Amino acid sequence: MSEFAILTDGLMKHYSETRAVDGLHLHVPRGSLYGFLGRNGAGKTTTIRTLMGLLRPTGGSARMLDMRVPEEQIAILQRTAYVSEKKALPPSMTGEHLVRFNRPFYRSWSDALAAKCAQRLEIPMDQQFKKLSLGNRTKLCLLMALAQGAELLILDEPTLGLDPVIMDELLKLLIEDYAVEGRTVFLSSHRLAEVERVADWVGIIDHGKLLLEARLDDIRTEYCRINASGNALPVNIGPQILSAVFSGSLCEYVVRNDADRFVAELRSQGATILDVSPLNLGEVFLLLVRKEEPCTSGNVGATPAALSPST
Amino acid sequence: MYFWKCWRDTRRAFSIYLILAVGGTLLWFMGMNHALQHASVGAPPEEALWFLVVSGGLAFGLPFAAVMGLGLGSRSVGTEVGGEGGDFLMTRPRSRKYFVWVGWTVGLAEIAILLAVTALVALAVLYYEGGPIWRHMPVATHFGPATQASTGGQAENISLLLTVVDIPLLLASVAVIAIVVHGLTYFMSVLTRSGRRAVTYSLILILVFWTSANLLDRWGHSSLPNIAKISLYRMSLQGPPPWYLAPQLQLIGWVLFALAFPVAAQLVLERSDI
Repeated sequence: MSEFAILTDGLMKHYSETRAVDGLHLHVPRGSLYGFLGRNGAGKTTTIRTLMGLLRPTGGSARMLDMRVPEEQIAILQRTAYVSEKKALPPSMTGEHLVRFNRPFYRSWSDALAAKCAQRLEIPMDQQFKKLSLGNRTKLCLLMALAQGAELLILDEPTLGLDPVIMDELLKLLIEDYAVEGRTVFLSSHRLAEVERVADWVGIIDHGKLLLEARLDDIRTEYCRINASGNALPVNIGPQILSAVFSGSLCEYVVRNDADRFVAELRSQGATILDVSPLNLGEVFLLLVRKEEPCTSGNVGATPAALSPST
Repeated sequence: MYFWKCWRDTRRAFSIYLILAVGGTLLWFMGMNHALQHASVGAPPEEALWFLVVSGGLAFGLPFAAVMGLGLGSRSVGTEVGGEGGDFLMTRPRSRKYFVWVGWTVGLAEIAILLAVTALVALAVLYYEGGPIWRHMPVATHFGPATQASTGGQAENISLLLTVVDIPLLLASVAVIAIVVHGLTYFMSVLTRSGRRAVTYSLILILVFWTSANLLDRWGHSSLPNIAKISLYRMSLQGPPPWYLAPQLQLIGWVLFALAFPVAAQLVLERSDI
């Protein structure tokens, strides 16, 4: 059994000239709560819809739970739950109807879990879906997904449009009731705060390409900002440098891995180290995806997805 | 599961068609029977009731079958995909083929029930009006031009020779029209992902076909296959045209044609992005 719940190898989805997903190499470890980050239009939803078999990939390959996408899609869907970005269910059905409809599709369906979710999230199960508020719609979608008892839960922007109270409830439910059982949660979002709160792995996508894939703790500990000054600061920088922004005799480096060694190297070249501080997820995200760089001199931009789970 | 959902989604339309079918059948047979009592049809009164069946089938059954096919065919997995619950449905662990064929089968079952109920109601009315009329099945009953007005103009200038075979043939024609129109509309709804567009495009195709068939018939000295005329040609005293195939063969051909629509719908859905 592979250690990855989702594994893509150069996955592509093109629409004529538009490359919505462009050679994606994704490694989602089993049992992780993986935050899939990107701006609007970065390719998150297209990636997810391709993995769920709703879109046909243009190229590359993907495996979910050791099964090939889309060849073994029915078996994949049996073990995967999905909440789409649209949060849409058949509009004329009530929650009770939806439970009744959904139950026979899944061997691992749990009525008890559905009832528990309905009670805890206070979902009016006797109301038609189209008459529910956005919050209740989202909760009902999540209930349908959770009660499947799936090994892999894929959530596309699950908290979009929700107020903070409901968002908090949903995230608690995910962390306390689902991820704790060793299942894999793949959560797409452009809200960094919510991902930082729940995720243990993070992937950042932009323009259909994966810019970074790393453990969240690694990001917190290994990504540093180093401000240095000197007359001959190095421009020829190694692969661990994500960016280097020069401004006169000052330079702001952002490094990944082994910041101490780099600091020592800078000092050996006569540089003065002004500050070394860790980056948070938001800063890493902005560093990787922003288009306008503050200073172009010597800037190397982002290094594409360098960290695999094994590193 | 999906059978239940399809039934749930179409039960309102089904109920409306059921009311129309039962109501229409009652009105037709009771009203026409009274009219026939004062008209000359050139046949004994018991056998004249069979004329009601034929004329009812031609004037009421065939168009109703087409309308029913349009209505029930316009709800499909395609309209669900085009609507709000498409992602949800298409991520249930079943093949797209399953959804296409279940939806089509439910529509077909509803058509079968509606036609069966209509036939039973017609039979009940005929029994009420004329007793056990199946004891007087027409061996070769001739209905003259006096009946033209009763056929709604469809049998214009045609004298009909009604035999025992023509009744099931006519009923089969009605059923096949419903199946073909249902299949066409079903396919269109998968193709366009909209019930309204499916009905519009199907109607356009049917009207184009119908107009072309009539133009060819009248001026082209040729004809397109036409289910509506299978029974009419057979019953015509002038005899069928030279190209006329055996009606059973024609009906089988039309059924096979109708089956091509869900196959095409499956191929379209399997090859498209949701």
